[in-house]
Amino acid sequence: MVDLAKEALNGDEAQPAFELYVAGDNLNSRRAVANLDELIQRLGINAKVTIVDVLKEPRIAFTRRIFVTPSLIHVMGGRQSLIIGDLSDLESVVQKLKG
Amino acid sequence: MVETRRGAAAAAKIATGISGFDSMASGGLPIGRITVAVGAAGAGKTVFAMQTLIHRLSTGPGVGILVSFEQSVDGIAADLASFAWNAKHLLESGRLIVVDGRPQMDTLISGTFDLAGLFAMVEGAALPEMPCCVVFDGIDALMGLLGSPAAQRAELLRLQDHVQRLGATAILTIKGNPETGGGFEEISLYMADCVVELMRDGRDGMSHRSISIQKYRGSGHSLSRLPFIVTEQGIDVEGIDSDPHPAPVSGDRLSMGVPQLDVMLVGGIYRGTSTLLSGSPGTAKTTLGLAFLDAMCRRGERALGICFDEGPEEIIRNVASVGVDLKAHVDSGLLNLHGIVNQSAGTDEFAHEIGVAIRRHRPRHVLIDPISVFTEDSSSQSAVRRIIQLCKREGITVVLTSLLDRKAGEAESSRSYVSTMCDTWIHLSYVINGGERNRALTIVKSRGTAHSNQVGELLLSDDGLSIAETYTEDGSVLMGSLRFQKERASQEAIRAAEDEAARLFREAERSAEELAGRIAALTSELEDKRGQMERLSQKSVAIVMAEAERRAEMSRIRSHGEVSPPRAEEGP
Repeated sequence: MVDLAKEALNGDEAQPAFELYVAGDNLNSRRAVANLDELIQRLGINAKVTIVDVLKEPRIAFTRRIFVTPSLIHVMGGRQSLIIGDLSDLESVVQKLKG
Repeated sequence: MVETRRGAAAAAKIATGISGFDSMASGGLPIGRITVAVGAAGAGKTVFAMQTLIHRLSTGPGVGILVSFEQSVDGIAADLASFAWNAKHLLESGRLIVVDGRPQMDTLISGTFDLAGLFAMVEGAALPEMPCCVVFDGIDALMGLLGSPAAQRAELLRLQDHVQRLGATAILTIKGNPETGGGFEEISLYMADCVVELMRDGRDGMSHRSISIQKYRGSGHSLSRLPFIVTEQGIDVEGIDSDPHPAPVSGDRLSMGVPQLDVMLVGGIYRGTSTLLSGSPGTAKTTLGLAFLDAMCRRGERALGICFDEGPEEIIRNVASVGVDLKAHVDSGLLNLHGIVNQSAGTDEFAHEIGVAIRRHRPRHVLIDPISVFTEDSSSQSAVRRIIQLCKREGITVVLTSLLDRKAGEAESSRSYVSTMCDTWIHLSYVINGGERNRALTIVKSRGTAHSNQVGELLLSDDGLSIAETYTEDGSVLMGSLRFQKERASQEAIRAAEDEAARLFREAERSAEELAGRIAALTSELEDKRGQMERLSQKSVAIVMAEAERRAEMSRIRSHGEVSPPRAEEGP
C-alpha cells in the first residue's frame, strides 16, 4: 500500500501543509475551500495546500483512508491531524491547530 | 450474473455459501442492493459478511472490499485466517481489499460533511464491468458521526445509488440494540432491501445463535428463525425447516437384527422411519440399536452410529461379547462409529456434528446413542426435530436410544416430545421377580403396524440377542429363572409323555409281532390240516372205488353161478 502520509512528510518539515479532500463541486466542498483560505489567514502562516477531489482521484482517497468529505489533513512537524466537515466551526479548528 | 448486473440487477442474487442460509433467502443476497446484517455484539454479523464476501470471490471474478470500522487490517486478516477459507491468497493477490476504517486519532469535527469519500473509494476500487462485493463492517460507528437522521438517510440513499450503479453487493453490519432501537439502526433497517438479523442468547451456560431474515424486498424468504453455529467453515445454519422434496415413503421392512422382535413388529420397522428405544441404564438399548446397524450392514447398506457414552473401540468390544461383530463392517467402510466426546458442547453443536457426520458418511441408517443428551428445553427439542427431519428427508432410518433417569422410575415415559416424533417406540425395562432382574421388551407403538402386544424377554448370549416368549402364570409374566423353570417343567412333561408313548408303541408292536407269529403258526397248521384233508379225501375216493369194484365183482360172481368161471371175454 502506498503511504501518502509518508510522502507528504517528505516535504519541508518546517512548513505546515494542508490536504483538503472534497467530493466534486458541491456546497460542502465550496464552503470547505473558502473556510480553509480563511483558516490559513487566521493562523497567519505560509502553508502548502493540496486540494483533492475524491470523485476524480478515488485511489488517493483510498490510500489516505478518506471516508468523509470534506476532510482536512494538517501536517505539521511530523504530526498530522484530521478535521472533518466543511470547517464552518472555524473557531474550534483555530483553537485546535494553535494548541 | 455479470450480464444481469446493470438494469435487471434487482432480480439477481449472489449465494452466500452459508449452508442453509441460501435456501432461507431463496438463493442469496440481492445484487445492486443493500443488505443489512444486524445483531448484538458477538452474534456473528462480521462472520456472516466475511463469509459471503469470501464465497463470492472464491466462486467468481471481481474484487471484494471490506471496510472495517471496528478492527485493524491485521485484526481482520487474523479473523479471516481463523477460518478454513483460504482467504490469504485473495488478500495477497489484491482481489480482497481490507481497509481500516476506524476513526483516526486526533480527529476534530467541524461543520457538515458526507460520506462521498467512502463511496468514491469503493467506486475507485471496483473494476469496470466486474462484480464487486462490499462489506462495511460496523458502519454505525461512522454513521453516528453524521448526527442527524436526515443526514444518515441521505448518505444511505447515496450508497444505494452507488451500489446500484456498480451492480455491487453491499453488506452493512450494524450493532442492534433492542433496548434503545431508533437512530441509525431504524433508518438502515427501513432503507435496506434485505435485513438479516443475527441473535445470540445465553442459556444454561451455553450460547445459542440464530439467524432470521427480517425482510427481503422483491423476494420470497423463510420466516423461520433458525439456529446456527460457527465452525471453521464459518456459519452453518441448520436450514431444514422447509424441503419440498422429502424422500418417498417406503414399504420396505427392515430387520431389527433380532428375529423374534421382527415377528413382534410384523416383519420389522419401515425403511426411513424413526424408532425410539427407551429404557433404564443397562437394559441393552445400545446393544439392540447396534444389532440393528449390524443387520443393515449385513444387507450391504451404509450405517452410522453416533455414540455419546462410549468410544467406537469400546463399543465394538462390548457388542462382540454378545455375538454382534461390528469390526468387519467398520473395516469394510460400511459402518462408521462416530464418538462425540465433547459433552460440554451445546445442543446446536451436537446437532451440527451429527448433521456433518451424516453428510460425510451418507448412511442409509443412523443410530444415535443416546438421544437423551438432548434435554427438554426448546433448543434441544428443535435440534432433535431437525435431526429427525433431516433423516426423514434423506430417507434415512434412524434409531434413537433414550435413557430414563432413575428418578423418573421405570414407567414407560420418555422424553415425551421424542416419543411423539418417532414412528416406533420400543420400551425396555427391568422386571424384578424371583430375585432377578430381567429385561422386558414392549412395543409401545409402531405406526402402520399391527404389532404384538406381548411383553417379550430380551436375552443376551454369546450367540446374540433373542427374545424369549414369556409365560404368564396367575396373571403375572414369568421371566428369567422362573420362566426357565416353567420351560423346563414343560419340557419334562413333554419328555415323559414322549416316553410313555414310545413305551405303549413298543408294547403294541410286541403284541402285533406275537399275533403275527401266532398267525404264521396257525397258517402252517391250517395248511397241514388242508393237506391232510386232501390226502384223506383222495384215500376215501380210492376206498369207495375199490369197494364199488369189489361189489361189482361180487354181483357178477353171484349172477353166473356159485363158482363163476372166468369171464368169457377174459378169454381162456
